Amino acid sequence: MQIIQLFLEKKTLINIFCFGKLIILLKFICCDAIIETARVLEMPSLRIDQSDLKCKNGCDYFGNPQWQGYCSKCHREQLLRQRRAEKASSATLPKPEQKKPERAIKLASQSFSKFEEKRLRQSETLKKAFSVFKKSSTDDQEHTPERKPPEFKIPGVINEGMKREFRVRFSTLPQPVDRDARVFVHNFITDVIKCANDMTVDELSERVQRHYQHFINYMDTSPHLTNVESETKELLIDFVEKHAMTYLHGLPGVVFSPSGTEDERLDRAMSERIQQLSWVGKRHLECKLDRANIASCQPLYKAISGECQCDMSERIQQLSWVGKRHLECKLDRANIASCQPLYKAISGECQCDMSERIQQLSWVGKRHLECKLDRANIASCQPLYKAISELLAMDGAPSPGGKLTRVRRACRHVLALCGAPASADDLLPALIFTVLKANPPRLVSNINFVTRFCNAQRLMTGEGGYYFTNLCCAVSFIENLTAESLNMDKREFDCYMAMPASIGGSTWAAALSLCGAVREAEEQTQQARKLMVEVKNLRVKARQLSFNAETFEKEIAKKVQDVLAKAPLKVQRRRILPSFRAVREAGLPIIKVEPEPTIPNLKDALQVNLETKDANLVSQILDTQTNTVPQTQILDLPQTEITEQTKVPEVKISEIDRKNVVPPSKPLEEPLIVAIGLNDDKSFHKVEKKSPKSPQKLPWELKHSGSYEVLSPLCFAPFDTRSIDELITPDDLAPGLSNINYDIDLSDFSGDNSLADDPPKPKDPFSPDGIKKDPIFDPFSPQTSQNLTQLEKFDEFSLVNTRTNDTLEAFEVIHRKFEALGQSDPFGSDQKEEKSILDDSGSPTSASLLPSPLLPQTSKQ
Amino acid sequence: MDMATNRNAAAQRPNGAPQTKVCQFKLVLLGESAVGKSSLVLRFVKGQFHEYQESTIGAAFLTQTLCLDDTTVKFEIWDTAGQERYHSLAPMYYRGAQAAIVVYDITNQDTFGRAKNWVKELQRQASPSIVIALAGNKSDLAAKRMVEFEEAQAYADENGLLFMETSAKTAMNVNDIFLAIANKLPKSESAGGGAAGGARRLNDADAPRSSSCCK
Repeated sequence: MQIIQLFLEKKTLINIFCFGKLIILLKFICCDAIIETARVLEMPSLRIDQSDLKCKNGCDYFGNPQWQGYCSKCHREQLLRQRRAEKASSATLPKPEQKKPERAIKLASQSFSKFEEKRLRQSETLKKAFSVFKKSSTDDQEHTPERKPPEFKIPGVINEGMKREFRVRFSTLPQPVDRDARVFVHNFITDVIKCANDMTVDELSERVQRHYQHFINYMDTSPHLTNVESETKELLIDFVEKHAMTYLHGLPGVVFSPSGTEDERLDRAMSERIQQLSWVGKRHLECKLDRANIASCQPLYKAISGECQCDMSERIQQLSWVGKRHLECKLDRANIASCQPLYKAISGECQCDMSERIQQLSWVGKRHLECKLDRANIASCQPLYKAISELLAMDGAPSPGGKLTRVRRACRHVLALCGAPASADDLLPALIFTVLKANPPRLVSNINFVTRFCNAQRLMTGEGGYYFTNLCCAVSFIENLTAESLNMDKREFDCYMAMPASIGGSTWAAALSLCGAVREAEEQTQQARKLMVEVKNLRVKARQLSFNAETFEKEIAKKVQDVLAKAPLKVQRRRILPSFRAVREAGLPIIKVEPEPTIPNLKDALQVNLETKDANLVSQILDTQTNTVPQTQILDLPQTEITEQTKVPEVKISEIDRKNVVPPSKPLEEPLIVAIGLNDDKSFHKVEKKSPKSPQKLPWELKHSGSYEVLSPLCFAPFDTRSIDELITPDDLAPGLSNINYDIDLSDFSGDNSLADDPPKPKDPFSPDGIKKDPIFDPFSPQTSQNLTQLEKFDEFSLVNTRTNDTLEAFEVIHRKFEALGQSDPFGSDQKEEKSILDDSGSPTSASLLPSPLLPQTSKQ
Repeated sequence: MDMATNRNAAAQRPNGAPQTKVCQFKLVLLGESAVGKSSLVLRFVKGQFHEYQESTIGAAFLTQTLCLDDTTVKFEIWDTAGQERYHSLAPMYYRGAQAAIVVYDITNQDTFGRAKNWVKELQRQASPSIVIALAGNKSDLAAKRMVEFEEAQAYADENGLLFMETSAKTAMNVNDIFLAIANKLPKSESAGGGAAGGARRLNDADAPRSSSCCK
């Protein structure tokens, strides 16, 4: 051993810079020290040998730390071997632990014990696997000494974690200390793991303590730490201990409840005993065990009252009042008789069926009163639960230091439980009581783990050490508890011990679970309240939303109805087609009659257009071509319509004309262009139908139209593009079908324009027909429907038309009238005005809509 | 073997810094319950006395630092449960302690008897170098005195104990007794490692006891 020790020291000094190698070396310390020394002399190099990366089995593949350094194949084989060995061992070896009859009556109600049992079982299996593993690995070592047993693989996580934490906690310490600490931890871990196989726990503990001592010595002598305060040094040793032991703690059966010891059995025995002693809680309290324990009594009352479904806080208040009474009783040297009614009163108030139990406990009550009740601070049931939870959490802390802090916290809570300046007289009983109630899992293992592997000085001194000592005392007291130690009659004690634990424990278990449940319930009610508020808000919002939705729906419905009322036009258009063709046939000769200079191509296009175009267009074109005043045509349309139905619209139209009057001279000069302008007007109307255009735009549009009028036919191409752009914008606004149609129209028209030169295109009869019809017919109805009051009259027209002209014939009739009227239009001036108006009002968009069909014409011309 | 934990002092030696060594001592309070152990400690540490113990300070574990001529003595005071039934647990407390104060109540003869038992046990089981002080508390209640000063003094002399009659209420002799202990404690320069090793060895010696407790 001493030799090994020497080696260790040497190593810590030498291998500061190469602990990776060192770890490997450490494994062989015990086996053959000579080889090791030789290696130490040979090797020190930072380089990792390639062989280290290879599979440990010696095959040429690379190993993987996840596979314990084997390659995938060898690892699988290894696993299989392990499992087989495990099976064999489990089959052959009888397990004394399992054979051992479980004497204690299990408590179904005590969740802690269950939990503990589960953990025990888990750890057992783990340990079994691990021990098998260990065996096989040691076997391997014997056979092929160069193979590294898997225990020695220390995960880099530790290294990283240490580095990180060191940087945070000891930022002032020089770098070498960090490295040394890590080297130390590595040596420590590897050494402990190696020794764990063939050392008893006590020897191991001894060894661990020596390691600590070494580190302390190192700290005292290290040149890096000469100026460091002792507190920092203590922190450093704690730090080292924490990291080393945290890792070791994770290895089953090495340091925590080691395989060679009976810790586990003791754990179980202890927890059984505690279960058995659960009745002590009451007795204990009631007899003199502690003055402090009135507080712990509370949960009992609470349990009782709680079963009566009393509110916790009420209970506490009640009990605080009771507490005062108790005090008085105590001062009087309490006559039990007076106190029992009190209890009964309480129970009576609770109207609980637990009164029986209270009566049962009444004799306890006497003793209870005999001890000092005054210390009890009644509001202090919380600390008890905190203490219990800390004690339970102790098992979860991996490092001895962590466990110690848990114990310390638990004891502080216990102190708080004791109230007033709690001396050890109060602390210890209260702690015993707490331990009895908590029944922490694996208590003995934990205690032994800490005593064995915590830095000894930490245990001997300091607050943590003190409280841990107290805990040890409590545990040993519980273990050695006899009738005498409770000042109890032996027979009575035996009686209680024979009593099934469930009877004694149930109340407390109930109390514990109840208190927990109540706390949870409180939290949940709070949450529920919050939720309720939120739900209310949500409801309000939902109502608003639904209201909005309703109104919105109504509005939409209204709008839709409006739109529907105004635009049922679609069906008609297609029906109109044949009639148009008939009209066209009639019109063809007229077109031939055209006196204007036209390019042949254009003429062709025109013809095509005519084929597809509405009767209106045809008529217009006819008009323009015949040099008759174009305005008259337009006028004719309304006029005829008006004549058909009512004359009121006429007046309005005239009004519009007056309002919108723009110098009509230009259109007049060039009839063709005027005709275009007329078309523009119509298209404009359409646009207006589609989208509620603000009147502001009108003047601008008017200008454009004017310019167009002036422009030569060649300029129409740009005009078209503009029109397209503008058309798109109005489309957005209007949801009606008419818009879509318009779009199509435009595109088609543009196509026409572009393809105007090409005769084949116009052949598509369907699209143009529909398109042309749409622009002309649709415009009327929308115009009226929308903003302009003036136009509304038009709408009326259109509506009337649509309604009345369900059949195409009506339309045709109109056209015929057009023709007739166009020739014989009597209104010269009026017509002019109208034209001008229409031109003015015609927006580029509208122009674009209509012009597209017309453009070819113009170009022809 | 010197049991004092002179780790700190040893640590500062290479530093060459302060002449005042810092010595930390573990001091155990023993005595029947209600003799005023915690009151004594509270008076010493906090300078407080509460007749009805209203204060909320836990008095189970406290520390206090005293300055002697050339050393700073830091006491870690471990209170113990005085009830008879916990008597058997006491060794766990005084294990590794460098000093002990056995307290009795001068108005109660029984407590003095118990104190004698404590002393006997300490002498038998604690570390041999432990400094034991006997404190007769509640000297302010001299009127009800049941234990004569001379009797106690004689007993103390006989057993090589420090002895004082104290009063936590009036603070009489409270600081003095702690000072006396501090003076009597060996502050010699035992090697740091030696001290720890000693503590460890002591721990080992007690190990069987603790394990027996746990079995």
